[in-house]
Amino acid sequence: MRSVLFVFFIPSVILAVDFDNEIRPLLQKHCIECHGEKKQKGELRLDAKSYALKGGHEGPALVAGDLAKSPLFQRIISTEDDKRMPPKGERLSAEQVAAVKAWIESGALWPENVADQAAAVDKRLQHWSVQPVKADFGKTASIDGFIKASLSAKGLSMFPEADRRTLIRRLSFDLTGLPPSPERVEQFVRDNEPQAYEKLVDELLKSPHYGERWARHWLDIAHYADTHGFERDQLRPNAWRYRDYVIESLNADKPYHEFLHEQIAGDVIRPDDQQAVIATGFLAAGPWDFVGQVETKSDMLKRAARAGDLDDMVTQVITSTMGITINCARCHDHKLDPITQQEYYSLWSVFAGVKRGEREVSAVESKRLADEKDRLGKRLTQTRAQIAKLAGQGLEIATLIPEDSGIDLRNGSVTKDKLGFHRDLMTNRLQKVENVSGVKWVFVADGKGTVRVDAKQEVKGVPATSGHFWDTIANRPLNAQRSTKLGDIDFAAKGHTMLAMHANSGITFDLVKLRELSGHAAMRLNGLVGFGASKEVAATRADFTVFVDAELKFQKLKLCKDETSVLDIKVPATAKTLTLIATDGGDGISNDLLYIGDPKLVPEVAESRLTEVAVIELKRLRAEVQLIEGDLKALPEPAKVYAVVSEAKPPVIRVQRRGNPEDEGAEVTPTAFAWVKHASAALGDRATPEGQRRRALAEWITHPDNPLTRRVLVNRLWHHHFGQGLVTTPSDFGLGGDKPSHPELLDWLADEFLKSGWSLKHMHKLIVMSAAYQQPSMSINSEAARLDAQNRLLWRQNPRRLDAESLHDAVLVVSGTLNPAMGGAGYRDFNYTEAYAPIYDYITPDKPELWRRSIYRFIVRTTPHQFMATLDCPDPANLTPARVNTTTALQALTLSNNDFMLQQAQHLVTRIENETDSREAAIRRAFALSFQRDATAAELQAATPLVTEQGLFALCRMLINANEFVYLD
Amino acid sequence: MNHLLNRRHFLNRTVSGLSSIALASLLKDNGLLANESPIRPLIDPSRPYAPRPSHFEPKAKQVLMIFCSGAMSHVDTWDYKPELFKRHDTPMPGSGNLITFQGEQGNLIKPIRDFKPRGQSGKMISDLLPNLAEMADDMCFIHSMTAKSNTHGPAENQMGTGYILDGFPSAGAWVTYALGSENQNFPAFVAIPDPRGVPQIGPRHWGSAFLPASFQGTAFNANKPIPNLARPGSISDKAERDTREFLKRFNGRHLEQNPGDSDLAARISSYELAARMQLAAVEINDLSTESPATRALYGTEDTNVSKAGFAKNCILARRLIERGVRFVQLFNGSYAMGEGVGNWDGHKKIHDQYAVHAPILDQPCAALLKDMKARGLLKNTLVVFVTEFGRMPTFQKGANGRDHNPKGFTVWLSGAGVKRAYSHGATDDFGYQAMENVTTIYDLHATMLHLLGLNHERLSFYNNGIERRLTDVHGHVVKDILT
Repeated sequence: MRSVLFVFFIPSVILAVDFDNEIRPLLQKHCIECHGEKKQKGELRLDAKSYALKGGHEGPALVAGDLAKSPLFQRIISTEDDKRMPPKGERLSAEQVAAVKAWIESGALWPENVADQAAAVDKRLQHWSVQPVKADFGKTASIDGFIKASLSAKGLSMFPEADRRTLIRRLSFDLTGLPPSPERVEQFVRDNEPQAYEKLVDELLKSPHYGERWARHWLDIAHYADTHGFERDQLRPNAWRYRDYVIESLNADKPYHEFLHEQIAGDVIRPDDQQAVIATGFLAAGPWDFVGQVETKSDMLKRAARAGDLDDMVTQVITSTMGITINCARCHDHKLDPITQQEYYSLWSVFAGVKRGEREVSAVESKRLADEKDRLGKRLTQTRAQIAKLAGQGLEIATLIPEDSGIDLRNGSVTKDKLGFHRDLMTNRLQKVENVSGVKWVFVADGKGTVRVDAKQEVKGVPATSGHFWDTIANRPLNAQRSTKLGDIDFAAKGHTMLAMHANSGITFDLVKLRELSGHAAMRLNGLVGFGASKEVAATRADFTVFVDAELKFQKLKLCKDETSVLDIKVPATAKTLTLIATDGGDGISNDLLYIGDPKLVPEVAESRLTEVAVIELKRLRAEVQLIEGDLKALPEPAKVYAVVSEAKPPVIRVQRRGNPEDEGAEVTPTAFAWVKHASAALGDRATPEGQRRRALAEWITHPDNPLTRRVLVNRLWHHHFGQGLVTTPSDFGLGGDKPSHPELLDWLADEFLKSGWSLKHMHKLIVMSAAYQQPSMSINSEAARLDAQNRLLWRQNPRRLDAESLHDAVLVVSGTLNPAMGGAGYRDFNYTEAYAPIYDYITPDKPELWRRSIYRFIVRTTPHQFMATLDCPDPANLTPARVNTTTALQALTLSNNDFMLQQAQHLVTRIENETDSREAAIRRAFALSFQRDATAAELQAATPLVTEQGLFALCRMLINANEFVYLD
Repeated sequence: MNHLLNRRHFLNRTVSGLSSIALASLLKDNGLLANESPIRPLIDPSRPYAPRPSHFEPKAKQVLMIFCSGAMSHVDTWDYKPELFKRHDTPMPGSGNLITFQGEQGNLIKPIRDFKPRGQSGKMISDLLPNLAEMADDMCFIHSMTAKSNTHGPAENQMGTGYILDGFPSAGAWVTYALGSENQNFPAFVAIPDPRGVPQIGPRHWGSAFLPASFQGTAFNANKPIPNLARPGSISDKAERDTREFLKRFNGRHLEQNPGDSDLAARISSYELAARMQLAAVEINDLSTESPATRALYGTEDTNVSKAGFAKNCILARRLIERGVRFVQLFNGSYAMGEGVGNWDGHKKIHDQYAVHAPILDQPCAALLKDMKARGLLKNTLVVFVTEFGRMPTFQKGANGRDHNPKGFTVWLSGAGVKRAYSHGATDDFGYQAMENVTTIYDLHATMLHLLGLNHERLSFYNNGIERRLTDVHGHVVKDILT
């Protein structure tokens, strides 16, 4: 097209416009600063012909021969302030404008020169981190070789190794997150064997505490928590299985590529392997917006919430494994890295069918449990039927009340109405029941004194109540009753009966009349007492009490949801009344939906009336019922985990323009990004099943030739062993991230990692065995400090403050209270109040459940834990590859005055007092436990008056606040 | 600006772990950051709250942000729409089958109280908040505010942190990260929760997220002191002093033996600041030094416990501002009690609910503004009165209340650097949608930072690959409202 224009329109006089001499310098001077390599305002570059013609937001910058379609020209002549280019400074002169005009009119001839060609090459493709990992280092290469080489290039050198005490403290905290015992330190210090250090390393790597420590680092990257986050921060009671999976995998030194495989697609790779299913808790670890995804009625809000969900998942997977900030390409192409918006959404389509949710750990196991429950249930019913057959049918007392009706407590009448809340009735006043044969009275019990159950009969032992009530005493479920099932029997179903009694109601049966009806003399009251509230009100309690005449025969206090109690009460042939009373458990009447399933008066079988065989048989059957009930109770709930819930047919994903879910563009298919070229980026197509997409991505990520996955991981290890990585941005290996301080060392480590079969423990050992690691951290080398203030070259180790978890755990170890129990549901150091948005109030009870390692803390996403957060424990809304470390007055207050610290200081006192018998010994022991060293003579001298005047507690409180305790050399 | 930013100096003294600084220099060396690179505050780790210079001459030195939780209805308070009276109980033109947060919409419903002209300016404000209305001449309204989310949590996040997602630093954290504080005996940033509880996103309103924890807000109010502030009752004053003295000497000797780590010195001074804070924090909550007239003005003895509690918090806010605390956040309303019960979320029975909430806010908050004005505090302090979004001009179908509406609502500012008796922007005839000078929360934050002498595009912090800002990649200073 251009050449055509050229031929037709260019008179020789215009040919005189010389691009290189007249136009290029103008572009250079006025445009390139904002539209060049460094900045591309409006996505436009003008530093190469190809870019100018490709254009930016407004399309091509120029169209040869067409001034109207050439924004380049329109912008320089614009009179509008916000359109005119250049935006600042002098406008182009009339001559310059004329030259541009003539140039475009004449066909915009732009001869490409070397600079054009160079500018057009995308240098980002040559970025160091996406180049293949170097592998030809030779046998003599070592960590120290690389470190020494870069130090000596600056005329610097390493320090000789630190003292033994420093080393064992550093190793213990680094590998296990706990301090060593004073005895182990002593042993190590005295161990003259050349292998002593290596033995210690092996010992610590074998410790189960290793997994507990390093799981914390991984969970930081996965932003793991035990609640959903967002507006309604509800519990995830089964998330912990994933946390345990991480601990166990690390302890087993599971090869890292398998570890990643399982976390991304374990449910697909090995659906029958419970651990592989649990591993996908990784993809579900982040926050989830209940209101946006479920509760709102607006579809638009739902789409927005789901978009946030997918972004979180994709970002977590790609930044944690490959250190690429893929999320930067959500609204536009990545500004720094060559990753397009389309590539970003293509990764969404890998996870399009993945939802976070509670799922069974094993379908097989769940089915087995369900079958077993079913089998036992059937046997129970059969056995009970046999008993009934032998012992006689008995009288159903619920059906004395007419069908689908209840007795109104206010007047004793029978009504079909469902009644509500009443607080206006006299309590303990008997209402005569005229129309129900066998029932004498109903009443509202308040239990503050005696309760009248018959005209001349008062009883004691009814709990005090509010005196309010709800609904009738009914032969049907109560108003608002949520559940009529106990075990697997639904008492509202055909073939069963129920007598429903809300607190605080009472009913007295006339036994004389009932004997007439049944023809039995001595009887037993049988039935099951249950609680018909929904799960949400699990906190409410109610009581159930039974009197025969004035004698208390049965009482179950504070019955709660899912609890049942068996009634089997003797009703002698001489008794006159039977009274049942439901009361409110002391917490108000709300939700106290008590009922008795299949309440019956069965004949007390006179031995003489039954054959001996039948008596024996009855006894056997009753024992069998007990056994079956025991088995049913012992049957565990199917194990669940908060992990991936997969949709077989994932929805189609489209690019969202400007990241707006309401503005969709082209369809994308499961594809990785093309920047790294180790394997094909194609992961499937529209028809690829959900799980296979993830599996393909997992394989792409863990491909041995993937240049990022191994580099990123070994750098993370390095980061935690040295306080900073060889690359100081552990989750950003792109152009916006840091460059490695020792690129060859990084590659050598990555290569070694592959050769070791992706063994983390191998890498740990390699790193901590290096002389670089074993240097002192507090030594001063002013020349090195001047040349390398950040210690990138590692002329010494880096001193570090213990992180929140290590400090917490170290206090427990020192005070001797650490509860070493591993795994299982997290400890909850808060009071939980069920509400629209649950309330979490942190508490500090001084008890062993809470003295577990902090990795087992039940992490609430939106309510920060004051102690932990003040010590820089990160917000689990964020992916945290490197923690920030601050020093604040609030920390000082927390460590000085927080209940946990004070309680533990007291435990330390008790421990020392138990272990020593003199003041001096106590002081020595306090120092030894806290710092794993002896107190100096000066310290002993200084501490003695403090202990004498203020007690050992003052010293202990001080020691766990000291810098020496809180910092690791 | 270079004198503020001696990078090498800063690198040497940076809070450890903030390797982003090294990174920024790297980005710059690589030419990846443009000329308008981030301006990093120079933070001495041993004095994180030391005052730091702004990017340019500020108009305001401190901020008081008042947040009304639950979404205060603008059409019943600040945004006068005569059409709503005229068209009462008729369908909103053009609304069709509008589905908002809780579902379908009913008819337009007139404001729950009448509007009257107020002050010299004659600004129309409703009778719901009569005391605040009296202060109209000191207010600068933005009637065209918009929010990105229609849900409380994300919208509160946006007003508090600039982002609808969890995990971003609050405005106060950004400001104190940049500027430190004028008072070294207090945290630079204090959040005062309502006596009834905290708003929906709770501590995220004052969280520091990925900024250093030094800049998280410290939450306390007139009833609930700073956590762990007081020496435990079981420890005598003498024992406390002896222990502290011993600790100081012990840490001092440890420092001598380990001179290679500047953090050790910082930690020693943090204990000294903690000791000063213990005294200052007790003093500030001692309202007995306030005159009876002042207490009556705020309503601290009101028989309504919620109102009296909020009134005390208002006095506390003023005292914190007086003492130079950089950023004070005052909350009205709490979330956990549920929809509309303890907050402005009037979905079902807005008449009844607002009759409860308005008096709790009105007198104490108006007294605060009046008192600050009388004491000259408005000269250096910017007051920002906000809520997470507005409410619909219609009632919800089948209910007597208004649903969420992020498309147009009102916030107001007062004090340093903003016009008085001024209104910026407007919603349509019904108050449904911002039409004129549409303003975003990004713009509000940009303007707030601007008044503090901070360029919102250059106040950033590197996190996970991105230079993060309070204003994301958006925001324009609302120049129209500036003096």
